[in-house]
Amino acid sequence: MFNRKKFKFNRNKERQIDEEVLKPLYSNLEKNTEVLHFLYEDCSDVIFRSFVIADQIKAQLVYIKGMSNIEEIDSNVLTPLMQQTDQKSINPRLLIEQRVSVAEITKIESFDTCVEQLSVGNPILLLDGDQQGYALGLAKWEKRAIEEPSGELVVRGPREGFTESVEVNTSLLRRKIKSPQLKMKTLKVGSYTQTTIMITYIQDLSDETLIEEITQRIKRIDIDGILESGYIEELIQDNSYSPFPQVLVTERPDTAVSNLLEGRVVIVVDGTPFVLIAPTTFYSLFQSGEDYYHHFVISTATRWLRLIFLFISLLLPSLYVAVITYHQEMVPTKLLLTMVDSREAIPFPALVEALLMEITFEGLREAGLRLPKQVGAAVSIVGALVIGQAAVAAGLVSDPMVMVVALTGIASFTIPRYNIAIPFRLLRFPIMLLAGTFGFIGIMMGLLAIIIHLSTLRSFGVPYLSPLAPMKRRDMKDTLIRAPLWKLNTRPHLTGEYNKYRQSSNQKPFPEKESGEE
Amino acid sequence: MKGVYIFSVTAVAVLMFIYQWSKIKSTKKKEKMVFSFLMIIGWSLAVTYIVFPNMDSPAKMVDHVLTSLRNIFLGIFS
Amino acid sequence: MIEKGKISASQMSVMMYHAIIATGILFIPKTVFDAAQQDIWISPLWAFPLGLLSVYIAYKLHKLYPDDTIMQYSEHILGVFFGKVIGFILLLLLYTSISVMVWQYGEFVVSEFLPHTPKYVVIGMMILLCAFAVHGGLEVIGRLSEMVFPVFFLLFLVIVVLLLPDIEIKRMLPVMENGIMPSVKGSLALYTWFAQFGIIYFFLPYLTNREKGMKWGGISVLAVTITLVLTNIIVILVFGRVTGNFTAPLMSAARYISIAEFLSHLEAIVMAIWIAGTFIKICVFYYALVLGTAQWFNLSNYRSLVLPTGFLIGVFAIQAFLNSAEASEHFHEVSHGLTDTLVYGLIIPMFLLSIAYIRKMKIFKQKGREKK
Repeated sequence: MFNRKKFKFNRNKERQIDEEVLKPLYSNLEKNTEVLHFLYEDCSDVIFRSFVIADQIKAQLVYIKGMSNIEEIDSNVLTPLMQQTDQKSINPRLLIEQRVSVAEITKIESFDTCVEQLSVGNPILLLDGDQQGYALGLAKWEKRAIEEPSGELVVRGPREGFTESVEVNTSLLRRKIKSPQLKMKTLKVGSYTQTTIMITYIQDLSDETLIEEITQRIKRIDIDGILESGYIEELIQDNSYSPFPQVLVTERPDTAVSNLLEGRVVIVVDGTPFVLIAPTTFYSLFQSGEDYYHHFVISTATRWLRLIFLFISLLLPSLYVAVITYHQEMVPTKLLLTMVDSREAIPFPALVEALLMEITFEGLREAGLRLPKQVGAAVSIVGALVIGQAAVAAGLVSDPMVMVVALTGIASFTIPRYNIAIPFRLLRFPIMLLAGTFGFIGIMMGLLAIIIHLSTLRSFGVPYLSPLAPMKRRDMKDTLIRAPLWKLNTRPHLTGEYNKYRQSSNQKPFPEKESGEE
Repeated sequence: MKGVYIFSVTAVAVLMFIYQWSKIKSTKKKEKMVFSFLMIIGWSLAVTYIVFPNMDSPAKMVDHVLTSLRNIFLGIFS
Repeated sequence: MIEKGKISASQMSVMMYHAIIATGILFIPKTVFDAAQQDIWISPLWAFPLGLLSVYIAYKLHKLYPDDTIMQYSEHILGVFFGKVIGFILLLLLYTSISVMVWQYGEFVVSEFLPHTPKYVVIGMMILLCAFAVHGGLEVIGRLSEMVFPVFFLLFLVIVVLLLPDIEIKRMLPVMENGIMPSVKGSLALYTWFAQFGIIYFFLPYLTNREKGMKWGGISVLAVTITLVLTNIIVILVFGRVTGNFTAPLMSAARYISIAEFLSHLEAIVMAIWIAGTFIKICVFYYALVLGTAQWFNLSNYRSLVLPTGFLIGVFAIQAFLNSAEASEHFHEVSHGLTDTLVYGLIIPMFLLSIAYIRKMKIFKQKGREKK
């Protein structure tokens, strides 16, 4: 069993509550009720309803307001039990089997399971003279409907996204993969929140040791609460100091499923629409699920476009600074003249100018992100003025610099995932400093340092830069290019043994030639 | 000027020493010894070269040895 | 084993390609030109067998002691004391040869691109970067060279193509004006570079596919030869008789590139990418040095030696030559063929291999006698 059924209520003080919760249920109903009352002291949302079955057996129903389906409790539990008048069948267990028409009934033997079931919304039914309690599967609470994920929009592709509920999310996966080979392991993490974490994988496609490793790393976590999958990500990644994300984060079930089919493991965390996918590689962070829905030529072109703009977003300001400061001869003479002309009135060196503008831009972006929509519009108008015409007119920055900053901003928006765009936004600044002090050589040094760092990274045993370095020729067909689907016969190799073929070869479509032709 | 150079070389060496020393496990005495040995050689060589900038570098010494070796060989064969 | 990472034979091949070509592509044409004149493009062909020989000897030694590097099997072959002595000489020679490389790098960058930056800053930055990579281990260096290789090679091809408008065939003529001797003499200078292939004795034990070590080593030598022949051809076709006036003819040629007035003065880009290649070269030798030192002292981990070794390399490199006159004296010696790289790349391994064979034969004979 993966469930750690121990609630720790206080890390430092040994309290009675800690001992109470581990005890098994008593056969005496009053004692049980007393313990539950003690546990849920001052919890006005917990409802205790006591009643008597057939004038004989005392019973207690406990549930949490707003988390259980009250109509069903009334019609399927309370009504049949309370209308029971036949005094012959006094066996309580038989009574439950005969009378309570609820699909999912779990038997409870101790208080910690009791608390666990209550907290997910299942009402608890306790009977006098019975050492078992019954958790009735009648949980029901308000959920957000399935919507299109706002962070990962697509032109073509399914419009559904994960929600905050783990049950909904796993059902979305199950609806796409009908095979029983889709396995889900449940873990509970967080001593207060007891957040459900589902480790999802496809048997025989995922490496056993990988699943074991991920399970171990998650089990190691001992923390008060898990509020978002970001907690898990930060606590299980290989190199925790690296700014580069070592697990993939997605809101889209189709992306999750395609990764499952490649033998990766999907970690679904309750309470967040963002699921984690591990292991991941550098290049897969630049791919969008949509790449597989469009024609392969278009997808390949898009991938290259992203790659080019990735370099632009990282390097363009630095290149500009380096060229202006050290390598003016590279600019064609006419262009150089206009550039010098526009820079004439600027009081700062190019490096300061670039830093100023880039920091302003990042600030604007951050402001626009957090503000309510009504204010956001105002910010963008002011922002356009700040880094636009007014700044130039005030003689603070030059025209080409405005263009460079704008292009850099656009370039960083082409990266399909937010978490991989951030490290590049950050690394832009040290590279700018290097460019300002050493020119192109400094840029190269900065780039090399980044590549060294990326080469040392691993995500759950998979080299971060694979399949380019170390080179895996078979996996190259889905990295810089997206080969046609009928060519993608093999799965990417992650670690260890793997299930190599995912489809039969020779699937290239060919129209039947009409006999008349020839 | 030489004083500044010596000071900065010493500062670099001390920084490296502090950074690396804490990373070597205390059980590995030999590693610590080799590390300090190399650091001391490096530092003292750096200081020597700063004080006597015209001293021969290893590259040139090896050149001398090799050329004299070659001359001996040529002497034998001719 | 002290190094837990593994690289593939092809990664080793790419690493060695960078280790030889990075400085070679710039400085070889001038060094060879003094002897070979317009036949410089033939010289690499004469040096090719020597490179192959270094790889072959290293491979043969590796076959005898598959899990050891040269620092370890020299002790098996010569006994602990003489083995340590040979190891020490080897390390010393590695230090001198790497210090020359780093000096060349620093001198070139300072004189051509950053005239106002002190040399120790340029060298220190490079060594720091390399230390970062060497600390990552062999795997990281292997991956880095794989990443750099396509860019480096593509740039080389682009330069060659862009220089095509400036060439004139008659500058290459007459081929072999004075017979083959000038080009053979020119190839003496190349031995310095080709003998560096011997350093694969530090990497062969860490291959995932050891049986392919020889094959990929050979491919690397071939690739280097082809690149050098191409470089020399293009340099001689562009510059002809004045090749000898440039320290780095290919870089100077890149200055001449001017296509449609927009693609001009590419030397800064060429320089930046050349630096990536040089970085790999220094990493490879730096790594060999650190690994060798750790094995010489029988340590269980080499990572703690990365920084002090880098410090020493820096000191040696800054002090390597006081001025360019001393340097050209050194390279004059180089062009006569007898250098430190030849000693550690070829002569020491050859010596070890012959002793190993002699000892093996003795054991074989003894066993034969015992049987009788």
